[in-house]
Amino acid sequence: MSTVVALILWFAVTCYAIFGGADYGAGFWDLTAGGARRGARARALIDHAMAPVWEANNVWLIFALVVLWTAFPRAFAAITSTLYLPLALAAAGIVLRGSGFVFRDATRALTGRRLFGAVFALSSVVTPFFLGASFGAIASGRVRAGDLAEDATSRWLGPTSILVGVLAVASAAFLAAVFLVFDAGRVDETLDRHFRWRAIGSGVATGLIAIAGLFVVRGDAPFLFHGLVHEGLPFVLLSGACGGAVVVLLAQDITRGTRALAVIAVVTMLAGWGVAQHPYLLPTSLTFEAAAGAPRSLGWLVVVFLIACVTAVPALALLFVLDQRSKLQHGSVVAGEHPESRHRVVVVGGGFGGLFATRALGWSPVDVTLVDREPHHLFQPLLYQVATGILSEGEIAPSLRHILRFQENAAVLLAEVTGFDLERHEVQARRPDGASITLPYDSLVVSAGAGMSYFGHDELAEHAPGMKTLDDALRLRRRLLQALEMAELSEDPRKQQGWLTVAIVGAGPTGVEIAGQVRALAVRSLGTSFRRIDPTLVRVVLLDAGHEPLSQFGDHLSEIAARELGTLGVELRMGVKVTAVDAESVVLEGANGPERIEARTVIWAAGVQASPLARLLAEASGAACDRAGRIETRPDCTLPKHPEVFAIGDMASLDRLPGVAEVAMQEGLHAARAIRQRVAGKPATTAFRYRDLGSMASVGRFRAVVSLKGLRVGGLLGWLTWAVVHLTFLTGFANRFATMFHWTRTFLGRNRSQIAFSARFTRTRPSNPR
Amino acid sequence: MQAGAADVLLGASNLLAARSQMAFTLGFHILLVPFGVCLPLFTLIANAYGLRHDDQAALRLARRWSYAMGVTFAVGAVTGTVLSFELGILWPGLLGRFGDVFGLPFAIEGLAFFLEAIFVAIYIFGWNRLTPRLHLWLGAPLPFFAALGAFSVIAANSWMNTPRGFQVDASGRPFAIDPWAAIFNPALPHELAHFLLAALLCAGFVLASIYAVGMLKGRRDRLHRLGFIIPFTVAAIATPMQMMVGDRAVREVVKLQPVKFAAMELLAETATHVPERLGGHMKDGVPTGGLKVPDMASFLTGFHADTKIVGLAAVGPGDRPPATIVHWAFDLMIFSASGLALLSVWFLFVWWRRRDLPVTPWFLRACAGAGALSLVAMEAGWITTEVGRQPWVVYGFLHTAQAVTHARGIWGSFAIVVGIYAAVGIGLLLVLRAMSRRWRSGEGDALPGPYAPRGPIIVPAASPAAAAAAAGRTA
Repeated sequence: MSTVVALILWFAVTCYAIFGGADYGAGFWDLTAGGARRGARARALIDHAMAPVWEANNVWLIFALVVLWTAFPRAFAAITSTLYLPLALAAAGIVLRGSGFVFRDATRALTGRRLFGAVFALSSVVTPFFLGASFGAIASGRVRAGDLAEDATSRWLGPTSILVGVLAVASAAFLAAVFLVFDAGRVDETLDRHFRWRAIGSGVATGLIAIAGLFVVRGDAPFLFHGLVHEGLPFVLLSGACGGAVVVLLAQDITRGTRALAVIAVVTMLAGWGVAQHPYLLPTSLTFEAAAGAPRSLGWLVVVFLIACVTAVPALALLFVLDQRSKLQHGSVVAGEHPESRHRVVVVGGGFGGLFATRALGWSPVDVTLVDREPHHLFQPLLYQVATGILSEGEIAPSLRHILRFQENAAVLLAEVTGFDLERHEVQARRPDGASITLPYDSLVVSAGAGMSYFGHDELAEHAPGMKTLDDALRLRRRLLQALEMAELSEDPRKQQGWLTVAIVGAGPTGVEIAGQVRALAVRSLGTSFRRIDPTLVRVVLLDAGHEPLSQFGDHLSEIAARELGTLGVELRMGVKVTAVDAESVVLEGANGPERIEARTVIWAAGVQASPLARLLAEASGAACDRAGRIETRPDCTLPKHPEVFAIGDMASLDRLPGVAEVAMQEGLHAARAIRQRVAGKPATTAFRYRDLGSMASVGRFRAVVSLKGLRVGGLLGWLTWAVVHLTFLTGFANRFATMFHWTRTFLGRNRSQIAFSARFTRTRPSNPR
Repeated sequence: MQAGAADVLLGASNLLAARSQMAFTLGFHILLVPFGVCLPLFTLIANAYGLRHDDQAALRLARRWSYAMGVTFAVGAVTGTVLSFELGILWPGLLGRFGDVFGLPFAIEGLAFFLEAIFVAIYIFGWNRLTPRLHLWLGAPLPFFAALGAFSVIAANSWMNTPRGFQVDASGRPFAIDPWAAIFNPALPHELAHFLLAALLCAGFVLASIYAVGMLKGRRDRLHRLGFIIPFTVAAIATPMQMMVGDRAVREVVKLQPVKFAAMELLAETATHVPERLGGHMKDGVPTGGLKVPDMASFLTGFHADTKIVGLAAVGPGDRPPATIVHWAFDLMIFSASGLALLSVWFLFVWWRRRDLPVTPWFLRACAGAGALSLVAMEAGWITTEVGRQPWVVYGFLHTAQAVTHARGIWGSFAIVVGIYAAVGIGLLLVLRAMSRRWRSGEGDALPGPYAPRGPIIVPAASPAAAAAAAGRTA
């Protein structure tokens, strides 16, 4: 085992001699290149040729030291005691050299570069000399095992030490010059000759020093000399032959093969030294075997070395490949930010689609203008809870400015869009003060949503308001509570029943949810508040032309919904058509002929009609509109011939996707992604793909139906899912918290926080005097 | 007799010189270590963030940090090389006797260092040469290599504090050596956790303080904001964790090295109801002065005022650490860390509420000082644990005085080392500052530096005469 570790030690020293030696040698040529002007060209080449991982070369030295002290601690103690001075000077040289090189590269001022350069060059000569001298001292037997005495520190100095120190400097210079010739050949003839002559000169000098050295060693270190001319002789001869061959080739103007030969010369020189002093680590006083430390430590050292080979070699290879590649390509400058030329995005509408698109563009190099005629983002799925006094308007309608307060590239503009000029890339809008403005854009996202549809009977709107805006919800809340007050005041039982009747047209999610909550409001929250009427007798009639509520959810859930509504006391009238609505009643057309229901409160939740902007956009682009006024887009949500314009959400028709928040959100994200890619110069976007995350509706207290990819859940579990999903998509921590608080208050308790209303009895029409 | 006295005198002088030199070089090196360990992490965070959000400012920041990383890593590598030399030439007795017991972690450190050097080079090379994603992934191993390096060095240090994995014979020589038991010694977990967090904290606060100064000077662009927030957030999260880990570490010291703890608390005699002494000093073996909080030390140690704490007198005078230094260092660490913790809480609270930095300029001013303060805490903590280990180099087995070299002239070498390191330190600061100035003046983000890729060979034109000569020769 000690032999294996000794080989590892030799390997580390050899690697250091080759890689570190070439670096030190380059420093030598830097030092001797001449004055600042004369040597400038040679220095520039040296700078360039220094391996980019130059400090990594110190790893070999550190590794040799670590192996030495872990595997051969006794020898290490003797070496470091005796060679205190040369090792300390070598260490100082390493610091100065490394720092000098770093700083010279990072400094531009000429005086600074000169200073750091001089430090670097000088220490490049000092360090190999003292390291070489240390090896010379060891090889010549000047370091003795167990000798830690004070006077040992002066013993390192001897002829062999000096000789090996000089030899180290010379061979490092030789190695570096041979490498530099190779690089210089790519530049021009002058530099090539500059280094060629230096390589030849240093090669000859190294050979002469080595030959002279043999005589010095013979007298100074007989054991080493004996080893060199016996066991080590083949290596010594090979080393000399290789060195000589390099010199001859260079003199013949041949460069090819010289690098390999020079490396072989250095390796065989070290091999000869290693063989010559075998089996001694410290010649004649300590053998490898005797110096070896604990066998387990040695074993693990070998393991670590093997791991290092397995991991570092591929990494080094990668670095080498990158280095070679970098010679071919020059680094391009990072594209700077140019605010004046940034991509402008105009987003129309701050609903789910528009808001999600805006937020998804938050980190892109674009400027977003979000235009809406209302200053808030409305969380429509919970609008009915505002109407029935559970939530306050602030909780479901946070201000758009507040939502986007941290998004520096987005601005909110309060204005109503009036038209589009797709050719000139402009949006026309009207500010609240009536002034017209024009918004230029590079990308446009229109997400204006939808309003109520009365299927061509717009006169119905007067008595049967819809549930689309915050104002609708607040007005409805007042009407519901006023109706109860009027019933309490009313003398006539028939009229009283009329005030106590609420008719809801449309049994989709909105209709079902509001029907359930109106009953709950009257029964649970206000049940004991009135004296002359019994609010539990409030009649809620849910009307629909279809044959079951929530028909889009499928039979099973429709059944559950119908049952739950029945439990709540909601009267279901399916398969009927509303033909007329006036202030006091609703007229139906059913299977049994016309019927009239006395109802003072009528809520329209039957159909939606896309925003008029959809038609404007369709006219401007030539796209078609469907029956509900929705513009038909291309599969990637853009308009025909206008890939920079996106129409998303309830106002757009694509693949018959339903007009729900989830679709708008995903389309908004899709539009943002497409814009991002366009700005980054990437190819055109792909088609929009909707991921169905299910749909859901809450039916009263702790009851909801959820439909999710074939999974259908009702009851409490459904309601919990519904609650979590809605809380998640609410905006803002405070709003989520307040909503949860209000739900607890309403559903666990009986109170509703938001049932205050002013007694200013407004009518949507002049009331009949009676 | 006289010769013996001279020997002792020389030995004492050598010991102090060698300790001073070792302390100085280690104290210098430890200032660079947090950056070697944590700059890669911050750089990768900025890089990943920039890619994810397509944020050019963050990418630019990552690029700049990677160059600063190259410079600090290179200098840290050099000073680290010197340390491995010094371990041998100043303390031949330590490695000569115990080299095969705790040498292995240094070999692992060598491996980690090598890999880190290669990957730092790959990362700096890779800008604009690799696809952004591949580039990021090639940088991803860097923090792990850094942590591996920290692990092995801390393993060696913690072994010196709680030596395990060997037995000693009558002459004090180790046998029955188990290198893995030496690595996984009892002090390793808390020392390593404490150090890694300290590195995060120092690198974070120092980096943030640089950008805080820039913001105070009115440079409030996105680059400065991100450059401040990324490291500061990491440091602000690490600081409370560090308080907990530090508390744990002290409890371990109470168990494993009670005498060191006595020095930290400036406690002479073993006692219960020990007061917590802030400041003060040891005068002729008696704790003197300072502000005393009754029973507090006992209470903090065992959650009860009756807790008995071992005093310095439990061991002979020759085995006691210099208590005043250790105590002051400990107090200094606690105070500076507490200041940093307050700053962190301030920041985290305001960020939680408003998603923004505290508005008052005093916050930035405090942050500008936090960098230096964190380095003070780091040095103080290191002094606490290292001076607290004295007079042992291998706790309980080998006195520092037995390990020191007999070479002459250590004071001289110490003076030279101080001179060189002062120059290197000033040079490092000047270079980093010059880099930042050039970046600010808009010279582009690619600067020459260590590890930077080589561009085309640019050599000044040859003089006319030389060119003519070359031309003639070719012809």
